[in-house]
Amino acid sequence: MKLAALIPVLAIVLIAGCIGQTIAPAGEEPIKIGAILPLSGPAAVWGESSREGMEIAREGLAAEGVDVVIIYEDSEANAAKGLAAYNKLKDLDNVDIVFSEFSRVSVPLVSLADDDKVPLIMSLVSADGVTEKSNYTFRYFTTASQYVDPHFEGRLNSDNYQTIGVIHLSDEYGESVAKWIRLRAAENGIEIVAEEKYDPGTLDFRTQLTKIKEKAPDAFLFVSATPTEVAGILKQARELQFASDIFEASSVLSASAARAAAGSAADGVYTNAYLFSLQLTGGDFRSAYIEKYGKDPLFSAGLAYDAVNMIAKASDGKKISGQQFVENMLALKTFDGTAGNVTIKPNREINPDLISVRIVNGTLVR
Amino acid sequence: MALEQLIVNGLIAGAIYALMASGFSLVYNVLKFLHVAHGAIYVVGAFAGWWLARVVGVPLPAAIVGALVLSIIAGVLVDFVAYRPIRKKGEAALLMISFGVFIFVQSLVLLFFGADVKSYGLPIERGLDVAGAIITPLQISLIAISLVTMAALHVFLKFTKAGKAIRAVADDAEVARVVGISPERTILVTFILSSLLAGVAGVLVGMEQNIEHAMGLSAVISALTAAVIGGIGNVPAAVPGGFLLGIVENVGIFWLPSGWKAGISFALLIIFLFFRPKGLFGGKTRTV
Repeated sequence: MKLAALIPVLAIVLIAGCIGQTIAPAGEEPIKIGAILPLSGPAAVWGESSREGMEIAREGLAAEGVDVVIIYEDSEANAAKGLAAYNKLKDLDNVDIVFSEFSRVSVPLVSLADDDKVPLIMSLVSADGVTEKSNYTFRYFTTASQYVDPHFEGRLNSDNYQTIGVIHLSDEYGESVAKWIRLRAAENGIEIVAEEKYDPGTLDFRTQLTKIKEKAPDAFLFVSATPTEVAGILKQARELQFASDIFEASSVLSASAARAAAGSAADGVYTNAYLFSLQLTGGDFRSAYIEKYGKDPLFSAGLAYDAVNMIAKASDGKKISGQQFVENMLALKTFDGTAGNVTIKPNREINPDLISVRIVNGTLVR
Repeated sequence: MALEQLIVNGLIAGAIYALMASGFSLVYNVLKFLHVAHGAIYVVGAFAGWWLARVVGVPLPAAIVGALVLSIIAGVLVDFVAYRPIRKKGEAALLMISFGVFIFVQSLVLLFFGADVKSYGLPIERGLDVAGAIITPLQISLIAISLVTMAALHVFLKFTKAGKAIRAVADDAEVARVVGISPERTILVTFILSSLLAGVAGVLVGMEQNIEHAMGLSAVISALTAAVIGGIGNVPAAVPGGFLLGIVENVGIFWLPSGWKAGISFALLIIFLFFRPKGLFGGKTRTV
């Protein structure tokens, strides 16, 4: 009898506690970031390095008394898994901000984040128009045209190159960059004599390369997303005795891990590099990373590190509404990070600079 | 020149498919289930060779032998730990656990070796012009090693006591037991052989391309497709099945967009399953 009488009392206390929880004033809890990274699968090299960069940022902020909670989910660079991860982070973990990598994972999340009014910060995403589709989406990375313009404004802007062959990934990112290659080629009067695609995870590119080589282009441009793809394309192109000059219309080769995987096949290739990859910026972060992990950081680690610090700065490390976060981020206007001083544009694009470089004996040379 | 090159490309790919399909068919022949974890053994072989050669510093020939030994150990462990305890529960249970083992081993490899792409660091070879196609000495060796390995497998199965035991157990394990053949020992030999084939394929691919932890899935899908084309459970038929798959995949996109490459192999699989489920040369199927 006494126990039965306690039940309504307990129920009232429980309900009161829940109500109290939901009406707790914003600003008392630390900001919670959900990070959707490719932690397994062929793209895991990027996700792993990003997580490592985010952890350094989190620890640095904690040392300054700013608590940031980061919850990691593995997308496997797969759209469906990315969606599942997003829903879990939003519904179960109640994250305030979502950080996502890879175009094929992040593009499908844009409309969801917009509906949910959850700020979505994307990196390693070059697909066109991602920030146009939502007022809650920020891109902290290069756009597709930025991969292409340094080559067409530089080396390819020459009478030596009348024809090009292209091979690219068959996903949102690869198609976006290929679109800009077609556009710039047409503007420069360069004919694309062969255009081939490959699926993510491909290791054997010989057939696509054979079809391109058959057309004997003056230059060969490739768009890839992982060191595995870059190394495979270059090695097999060299074995097939490609006579064309080779250009990477992405920035994977700027990562030392990719150049190590490609070995001597990468020599003479033109690529794009971030200031961080050229060791012109981000020295403090690089030192901290090497001390903690014993290896040189990829540029993705620096960008993820910057993203956490940007979030902390815009939110002051405290839980705030999505709308307020967006306003605060735009109010920052610039951010000084591992990629140098970047502009936070009104359209929520934050695009680090890329420089055209050439690989000479495994080193990036301007 | 492009068509000749595509045929050569197909032969290179086909050599690996044939190795993988032979091992896959061998297990199916005896145990009548799809040994998906075969792809994991392939990954173990590739990484073991790389680790021994590039990290431990063992000379390459010894690293290759070591990789094959480690592949065999891994395959036998999979049988002992995962398959043997549930063998009596049927093929569906074995298939499920095989998937689990595949994912587990792939994750272990990621945990121990990380996500960076690995390379044996062999120098880039200048290709030789053979009948209008470019092929490197390593690729010629790959095809030759694949053919020799499968020829040796054929001789083993046809002319040795253990090979005959495998064929007997594949036909009827209980009858084999009655005549004095131990099915358990025969299954062990089957996994040793199958894992050796996967290890050879893993090492060859590792040397010819690069290696990364997620490379096993495409390999096992190709193995399954090639085995079906040749005749699932028909071990010798896996060889023409593998080479046919490699050539059709590569030559097919001479006329079609290259993005259709995966689609071509799946289309071939569907065609065979619909119109010739026993494959080119007939395979083992269960009779109910």
